[in-house]
Amino acid sequence: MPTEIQTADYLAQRLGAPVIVRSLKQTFPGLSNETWIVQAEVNGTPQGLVLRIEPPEGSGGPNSMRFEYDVYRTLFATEIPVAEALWYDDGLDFAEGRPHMIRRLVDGSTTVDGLHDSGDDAAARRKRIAFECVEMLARVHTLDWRAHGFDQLIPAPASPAECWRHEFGIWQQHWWTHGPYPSPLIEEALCWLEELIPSDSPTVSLVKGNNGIGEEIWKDDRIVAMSDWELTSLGDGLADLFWSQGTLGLADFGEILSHYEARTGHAVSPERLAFTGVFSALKQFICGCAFWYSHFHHRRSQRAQLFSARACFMLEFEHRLGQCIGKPLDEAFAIANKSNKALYTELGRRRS
Amino acid sequence: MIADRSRLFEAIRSTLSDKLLEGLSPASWPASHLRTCLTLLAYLEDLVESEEAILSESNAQMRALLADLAACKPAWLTVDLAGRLAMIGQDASPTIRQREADYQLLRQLLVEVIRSHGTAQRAGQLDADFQHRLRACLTDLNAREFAVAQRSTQMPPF
Repeated sequence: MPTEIQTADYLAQRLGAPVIVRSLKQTFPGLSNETWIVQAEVNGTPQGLVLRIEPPEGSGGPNSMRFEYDVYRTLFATEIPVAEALWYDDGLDFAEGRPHMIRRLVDGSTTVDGLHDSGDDAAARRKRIAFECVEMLARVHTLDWRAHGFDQLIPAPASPAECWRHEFGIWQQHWWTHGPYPSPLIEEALCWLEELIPSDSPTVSLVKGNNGIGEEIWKDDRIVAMSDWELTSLGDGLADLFWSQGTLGLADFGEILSHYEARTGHAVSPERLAFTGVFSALKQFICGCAFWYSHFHHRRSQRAQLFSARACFMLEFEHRLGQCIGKPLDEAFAIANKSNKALYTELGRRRS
Repeated sequence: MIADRSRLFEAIRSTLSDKLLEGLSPASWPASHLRTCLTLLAYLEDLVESEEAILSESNAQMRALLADLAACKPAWLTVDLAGRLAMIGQDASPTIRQREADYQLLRQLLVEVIRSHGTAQRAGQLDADFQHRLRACLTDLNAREFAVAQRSTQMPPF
């Protein structure tokens, strides 16, 4: 855990200027990496910075902190609003040698208060938030990623038709390499889904990964900076509609999907929608189990949240996937998406 | 004296929930840690209730499926795997710890069987009968084993 003095010394060295740290606070939520808000004075000028550090047990996802930093740097040159990533470091005395990056602080919050208030105004607000989220995702998915060199960072599918086979192969290999325990159910789910991979993705897009409330910086119900790019990939952008931490569930999903289709200029076939919805459940299971829970399983960490995430999310996903195996995709979609836990949307619920 | 375990769990739960969590900001790390503990408590309580049935019944079901496979020796089963399946014995594991070890071993064998069949399936050699029996077995295991997560999956993990 960094102290204010250690952080001030480190920043002073890096910035080549005197630094006083007025406050250093770890944000909540933030499970895969530690995020610390630094309110500092650099050469007497107030400055807000964000320090993001990999946990002691290692990354909470398949990609490194360095990867995420490179994504931020590349994105900053685009029209997608992101915080400016200033530098990356690792192997220093600071932060116990752990990989970390420093970003400029963007004014806002990762959670939104009052989302579950009653009344028409609150309902309208929820809809606005959901549409803001899908609008920003559409902007990400229609970005010309080649022009910005994202394929230098991220392996791309050979063609749009190969999007899902490419993605499936990556996550199957993640499970085979990093899965902490044998799961016959997941193994058979992989065999079943492999037979159903669609080939009608219209384009290869930049895909954010986890998104929505808890992941972006919100201010006045708008996303002022998209944050947490640790799961960025190249593939079918539709995948992002199924990892919004419940944000897109704040409005009618049919309306959300229609807006997405209009905004991206491509219709979504029922088969592609159903496969994406089911595969996203499998991908979230593999991500959580192979990269979070495995630290606890292999005794690299005693963080109770790593086990409780398994007890809450991963067992639910595993159970639903088990119910999907062998079923037609539209039935499997209904099972896999029966309810999406609103992970962070309820944090702003007012206490009576 | 053996204590009433449900009262023990309830005492812990009410201390965490009513005495500690109440009054904390939901979006704070202390509240998150307490929510985590409550979720784990629910999981542990359900685990204590159901693990014996899971371990004995699921183990028996996996043993039966793998033993049938060892007897049939389908062409898609590797020689090495067929040999290992033939060595699976009966349940001689009276303790929960030993049953847990058998449970992991049987699951690992079943995973290898599924991968072996998956390779055959990709080559166009689906064994429909095996697939049907496998999926029936997995449906039962899934339903039985979800008993440990009935409550924890309804709770926030952090």
